[in-house]
Amino acid sequence: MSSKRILLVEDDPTLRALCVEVLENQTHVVVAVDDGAVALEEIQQRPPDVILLDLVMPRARLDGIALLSLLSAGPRIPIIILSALGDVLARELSSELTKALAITAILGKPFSLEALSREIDRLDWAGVSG
Amino acid sequence: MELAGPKASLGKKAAPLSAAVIRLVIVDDHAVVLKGLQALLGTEPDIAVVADCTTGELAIKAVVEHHPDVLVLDLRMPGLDGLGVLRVLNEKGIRPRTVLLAAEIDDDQMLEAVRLGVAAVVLKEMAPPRLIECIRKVNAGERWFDGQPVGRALEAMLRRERGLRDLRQALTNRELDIVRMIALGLRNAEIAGRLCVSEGTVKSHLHHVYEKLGVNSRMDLLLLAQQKGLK
Repeated sequence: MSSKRILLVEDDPTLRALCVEVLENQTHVVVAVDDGAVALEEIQQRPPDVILLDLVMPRARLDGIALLSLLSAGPRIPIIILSALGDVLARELSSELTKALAITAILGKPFSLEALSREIDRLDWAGVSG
Repeated sequence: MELAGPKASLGKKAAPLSAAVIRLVIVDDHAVVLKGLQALLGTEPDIAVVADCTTGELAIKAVVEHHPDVLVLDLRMPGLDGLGVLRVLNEKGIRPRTVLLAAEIDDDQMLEAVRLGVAAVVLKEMAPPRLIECIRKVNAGERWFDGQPVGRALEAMLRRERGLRDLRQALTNRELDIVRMIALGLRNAEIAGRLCVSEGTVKSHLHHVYEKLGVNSRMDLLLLAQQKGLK
């Protein structure tokens, strides 16, 4: 498992803090933000190895859905979606679109931190990051 | 007037509202639907309707005043509709757990509802006990999109954005305008009229569009434009 630079985009402060703590303990470098607009600046300045993206962020200037749309035109950075709608999206989004957007996993909230770590590790052997 | 403002529920007598009771604000512009909801929910011991409203404006007042556990909100209302209510509340920093009631809902409305934090979309044709189950789940912090095409709505939106971006990269703004009008089914003469140019100019633009996009006919262009979500 290689150390990665992870951009976490999540508006729930509790979940954000928990993910940061767990991922940093696994030697990853985590930049955590609560708004897609801030995430976009971060991506442009220092592209991360993987983006953990919450989709629904009503308070944000740019929510996860809008960020996802913008990222589809940019560099292919693996994206792991974290969403309360995860199960529905995993069932309904086409594999063609998820490949096009570099979505490597969709985790439905609540998700286990083990599952999140597993999906990040999977990027190594899938050869899409690191 | 009976329906002039958000009014306290008349459905129950003097049941003290404990922490176990789910406090609702219900909103629908049809008085008969409101009465039906009152009758349905009034039989549930753990649910109390604290206000019912017939307009979006009254719904906002009621939510601000009562801070309900769950807002049951009609999507389609004259004036300020359900999504409009949520937009206003969101701007005020108020985000009630919301069940959106809809006779029907299209992909764009579904996606906006999700983005505004709606926890459930319930079609009005759904069996009443399912609505009650839904309210309890939403109150417990869960979401309820069973049978609703949330993924399809997201996919359609992302495809449309990608398609538009592809077309914007390939075409000039004027060419894009013409393709958009073709996608709407307009004929060359109508396009020329709208753009205040000759029909020959439209044909010339179309010739370039065909070349750039690698299509051979108007029908191919129409299909491509629709596939890219241009309309």
